[in-house]
Amino acid sequence: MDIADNLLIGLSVAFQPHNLFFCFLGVLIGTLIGVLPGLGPVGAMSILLPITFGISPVTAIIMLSGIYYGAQYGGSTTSILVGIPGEAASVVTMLDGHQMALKGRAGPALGIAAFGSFIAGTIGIIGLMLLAPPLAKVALKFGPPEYFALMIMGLVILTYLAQKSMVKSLMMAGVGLLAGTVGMDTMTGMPRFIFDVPDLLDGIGIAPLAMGLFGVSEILLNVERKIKQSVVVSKVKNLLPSRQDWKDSAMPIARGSIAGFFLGILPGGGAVLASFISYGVEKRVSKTPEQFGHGAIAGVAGPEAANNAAAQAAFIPLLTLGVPANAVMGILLGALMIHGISPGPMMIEKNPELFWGTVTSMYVGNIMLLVLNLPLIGLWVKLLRVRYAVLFPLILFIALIGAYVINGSEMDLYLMLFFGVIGYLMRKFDYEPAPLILAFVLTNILEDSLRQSLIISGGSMSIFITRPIAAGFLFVSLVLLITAVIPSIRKKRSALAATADDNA
Amino acid sequence: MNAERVGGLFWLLFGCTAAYGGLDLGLGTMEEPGSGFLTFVAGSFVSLMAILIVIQSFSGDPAAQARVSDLWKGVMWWRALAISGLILLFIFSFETIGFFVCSFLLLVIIMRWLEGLEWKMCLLVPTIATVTTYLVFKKMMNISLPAGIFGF
Repeated sequence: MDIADNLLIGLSVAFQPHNLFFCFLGVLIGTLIGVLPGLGPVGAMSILLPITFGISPVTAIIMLSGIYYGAQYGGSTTSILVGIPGEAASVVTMLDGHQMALKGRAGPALGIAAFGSFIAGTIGIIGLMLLAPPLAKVALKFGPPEYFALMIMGLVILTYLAQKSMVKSLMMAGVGLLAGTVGMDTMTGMPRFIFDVPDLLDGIGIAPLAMGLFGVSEILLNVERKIKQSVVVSKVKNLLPSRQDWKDSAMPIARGSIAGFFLGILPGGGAVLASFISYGVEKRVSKTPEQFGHGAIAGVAGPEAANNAAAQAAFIPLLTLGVPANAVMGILLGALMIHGISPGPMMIEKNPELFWGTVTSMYVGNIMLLVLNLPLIGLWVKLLRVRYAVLFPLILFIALIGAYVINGSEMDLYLMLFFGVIGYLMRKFDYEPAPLILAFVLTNILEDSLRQSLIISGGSMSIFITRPIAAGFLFVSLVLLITAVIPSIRKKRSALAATADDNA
Repeated sequence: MNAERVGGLFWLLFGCTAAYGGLDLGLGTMEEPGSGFLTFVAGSFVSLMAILIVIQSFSGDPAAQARVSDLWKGVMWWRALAISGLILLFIFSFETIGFFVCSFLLLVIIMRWLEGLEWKMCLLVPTIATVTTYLVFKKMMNISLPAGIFGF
């Protein structure tokens, strides 16, 4: 079947009324999550996982994907109007977007953010459509050693790109692996670290873990300080960028889309990194770099395009290799598994409706987002005025009920609280939760592929270096680890972390 | 106490315990790794990284000199503690007292006692939230929520 046939399959799935409804619901919730500071897409998706139980897998993935890429759009609204990043990938947008708003140009800033996101999102989807099927064919040649090496590389890249200490991030990946081993060993049937609690036999659930580490911990941190939300404009006017705005933004959008797409594919890469890199590139190539930080429209267009292209590209490793590129994709992997679907090279052939339906729904979702974020901007401005004192109890309540209904188990609630407190302490002590979640999700595949590799090789670790693809992945990992300790690169990483801290 | 050192020592203890747990589960052989193999490797790795963090805390790096008390300086830490306590209380009583009463009380207590919102808001928002959640989960999705001693 060629791409046209596949697109037709996808369109027939995406345009089914219930899929359109859930796609809209997803992008609406995503925009809401993006607009409201304090709850990111990981927390929101894990909280809403139980809602997907009653619907088909394809509908569930369409909705959850919508939340993810919708959050990338919504985050820019808060960054521009309030000066607080709605979510992490919008930190950079705030630098120039908020300055534009302060100078009375909130409309063009929001407009270019939405159009840039739309263009980049569309480029990302086309890339996903063209690249995923051939990559899945290559991935069919992967055996356990290649999978093991690929996952090690993903974890190393994620920790390499961590904004804080790389040692701490590596350690968190180790802790994630340990958390992932709790429960019954699937190969031997031996229970591990269940402490006589039968509920733990199936292991720790992804939902209570993610809700605790990302949702509850975020609330605990936020309630410690007073959140002041002051919207700088009461009414947003002139959303359509001028001819000059378009001229200034065209190349940043193009560069941001391409860079974002390739950074998004990398396991461990993602929207946050893409937006930072795009901002750096635009500032470097600009003829007027002194305007950056004071309301340069290129500083909004580039990063917004980059984070949206990266958000779409992040689906590639998940849908073709079964390897989540970031924590959000980890939640999606969990959702697919709950629905009895194992993503991987065979998924496109075995479940074409799911793959092509999800991809084409993204086109539809992007158009919905353009409508939601431009004509309906007044609605979001009003929402930004709702006090956090009203919002956070509701978020907490939905998280608690969401965690309970998955298995109808009190244990999941205790786990969520436990990981919430752990996540709170981790953030206090400057440990990032993302590597922990990703390693946790990968544990089963990683452990199985390690064991299978050693069984195949008769116990020889050389299998990981004698097979070229596996050796290549491990070589990249090694190079990254070595370069991370080179003083000049360490300084650059620290500078990036400092920038992120200053802006957050 | 130096925050980096305390954090490092905590994870060192955690890593060593996990590695010991891995040994206890059985490492197996290289030809056929046992249930404790990955646990042992990951636990040892965590311990190693924790040792590096502890060593770094003795360096002159200003970023590694914060004290534990500094992390809670200037913030209303008691509010985070109160929320954690309320969640614990909610979990304890959720199945016994039931969804409606527990959820309503949790929301009212947070909004009124912790946030000091006006009574009208404190009664209206929890009522809408609990009823909507009940309708979505119980009526639309047919997922059971605990009725508790009051039977609703």
